[in-house]
Amino acid sequence: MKRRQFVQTAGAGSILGALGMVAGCATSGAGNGAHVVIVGGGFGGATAAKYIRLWSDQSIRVTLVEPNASFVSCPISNLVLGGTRTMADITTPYDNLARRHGVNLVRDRVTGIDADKRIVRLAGGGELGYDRLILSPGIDFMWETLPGMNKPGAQDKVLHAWKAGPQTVALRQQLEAMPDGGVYALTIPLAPYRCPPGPYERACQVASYLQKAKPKSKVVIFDANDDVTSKGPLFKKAWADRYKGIVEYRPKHTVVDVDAATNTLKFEFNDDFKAAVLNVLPAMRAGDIAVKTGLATANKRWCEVDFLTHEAKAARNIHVLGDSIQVAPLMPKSGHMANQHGKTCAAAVVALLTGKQPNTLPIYTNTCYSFVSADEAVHVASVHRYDAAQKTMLTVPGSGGVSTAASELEGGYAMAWARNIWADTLA
Amino acid sequence: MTMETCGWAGRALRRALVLGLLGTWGLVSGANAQSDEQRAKKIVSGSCFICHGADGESSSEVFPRLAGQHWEYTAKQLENFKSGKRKSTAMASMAGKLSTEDMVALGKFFESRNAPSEPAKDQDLAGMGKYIYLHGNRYSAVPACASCHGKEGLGTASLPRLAGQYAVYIEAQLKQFNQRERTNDNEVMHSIVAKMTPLEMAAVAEYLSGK
Amino acid sequence: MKRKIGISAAGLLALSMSGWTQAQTVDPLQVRGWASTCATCHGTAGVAQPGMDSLAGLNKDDLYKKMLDFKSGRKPATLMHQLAKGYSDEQLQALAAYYAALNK
Repeated sequence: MKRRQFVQTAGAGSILGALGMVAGCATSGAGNGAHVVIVGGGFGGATAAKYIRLWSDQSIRVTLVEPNASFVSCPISNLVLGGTRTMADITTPYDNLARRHGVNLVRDRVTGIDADKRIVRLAGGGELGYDRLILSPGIDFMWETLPGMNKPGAQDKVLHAWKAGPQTVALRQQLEAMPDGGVYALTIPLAPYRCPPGPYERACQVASYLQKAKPKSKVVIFDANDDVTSKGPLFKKAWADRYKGIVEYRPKHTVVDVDAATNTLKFEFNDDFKAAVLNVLPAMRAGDIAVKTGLATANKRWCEVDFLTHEAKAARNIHVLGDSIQVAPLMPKSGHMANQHGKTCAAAVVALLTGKQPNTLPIYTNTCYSFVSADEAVHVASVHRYDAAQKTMLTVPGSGGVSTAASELEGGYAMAWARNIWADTLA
Repeated sequence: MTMETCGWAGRALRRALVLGLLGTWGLVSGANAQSDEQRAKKIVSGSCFICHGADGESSSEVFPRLAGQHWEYTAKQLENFKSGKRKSTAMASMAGKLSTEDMVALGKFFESRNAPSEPAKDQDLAGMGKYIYLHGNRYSAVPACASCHGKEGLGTASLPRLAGQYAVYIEAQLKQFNQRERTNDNEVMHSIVAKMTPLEMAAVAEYLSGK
Repeated sequence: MKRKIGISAAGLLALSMSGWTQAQTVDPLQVRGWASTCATCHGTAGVAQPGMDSLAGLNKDDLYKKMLDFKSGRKPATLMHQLAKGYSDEQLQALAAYYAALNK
């Protein structure tokens, strides 16, 4: 039985083997034997890996490079913070990608890309050659915007928990240790950031926990934006109806620094604020490897792509998915959206590697659920269709919308969505 | 002392379990073994495999290995998940759709599966765990696990096989027995684990993972 | 244990020769791409995890009618109406035929 090691498919074998096998194929356009390397095993990368294998009838080789042993989902992680779900509920192993779909899994991190030679370099010391490269590295934080957070130990004390995993557990422990009457302060950066409704859902889940366990405590949201960025009326109703006196929402509050030693937030225009538990979401940008490779052409933060193929505007044969991209109008940065990018890109890459034309009319949806309590959820949905004139994805007029109200029915649908997207992405 | 603990509690537990089992599915005949296996495979390949692996081998320490586990024990856990007697947010919805026949079929399917274990990573810790597993801790009145779970950790129809189970999972269950967060089968286990130190729990778990 | 995922060759043929009265031809790969967005709730290749309906192998006329009823508001829903409105009737018909042809 293979435990926490990654499974290598029989054919691909070692990294050196992969390099050797690719050298002769780099110039061929045939699907058979072509090698795609995917960086990042999140909703974008894992989906692309599975679907390239599926849609090429296993003829295109895929190597997925991911440092984590299992996938831990950000969606539903707020319920782990609230105490109604466990880490096991949000963890899915990567093995099925290898076993069921023949994806070659490499547990490592990419440190550099040579776009001319078509090689990626690994932290563990190896190299992988590719015909096509797909980057799905998520987001990284712009720590330079919060000088105090670069002091030793600051980032271990003041958490973001915006990449599910150990920080989710640690933040939950901070909440459990907080004395009754303490304040949990959550800060939100200016949009765009990963998962627009996520912070507001987190406020609901923490408030729900505090209401039962520490009723004198408070949740204060400091939002740099002018107003709630997603499902605003629904969240505000939840705070007013369910968590009255617990949740306080303060828009137009931009954090400019954090003193981790004293748990103090410093703002652009407002007085300092001290809290028992600080949860700071710094400004975000594309994942490090994408920025390092010069692909972040939009404000040096996000990667512009061709929405038919997800090929980066800045480099040939390199595609970018998920949170790292410069989004189309009204396109959110969400796991669901990254899963759609993964499929669009997979179809396009299979077409390109087999000498065919990619789909000229991608159409896909976004469905986003937020839990306002342990069991009740609301949603926002949208349909995005390629517009050839504007060369981008536009929402289809008349489609999409939000819930009329929160309900347990939608809570059930939300969990079914989670189970199905995890299976669609990873199994 | 160890044998006594297992003796009275073990007998009572076994009686209750056997009666319970007979009551719910003792009369379900595995008349057509082949169709049972087909039934189980269909369910496993639909959802169980995602976390527990296609053969119950589970390569993630977060999810317990089911291969080689006694079918009565697995089926009982599924029944307890469904009824809510064993609390689990992950398993409640999964078990909710299963019939009694499904649970028996799944139990028998997983029991027939083979999954060889790997040696424990920390041999020193496992060595300490072996001592506690076989002899208990007479200074703190912790009985030997072997007195109920068997010298090789293979268990019985009413007591789970522990050999080869993930250390992280065993440790988590021990902690849950201690806190009574593991809400079933905890009459005896709670009184035992309440006397165990964190080091002893980790050691026993490490030892069993390598068996 | 590889389950056969995907559309059979006969299914693809049936799809491209389905009772089309429109001038344009259906590109099966394009429809497959459109259909893949549904997998996040209804499962890869239309076989869903517990809690949601599977779509694979359903009757294509029933499925098409259901989508039209969502689109028109005749059938109440929490969000299917919001999604159905994002597709033309022809696209919905092609999607229904695609799912009908999948293995259950």
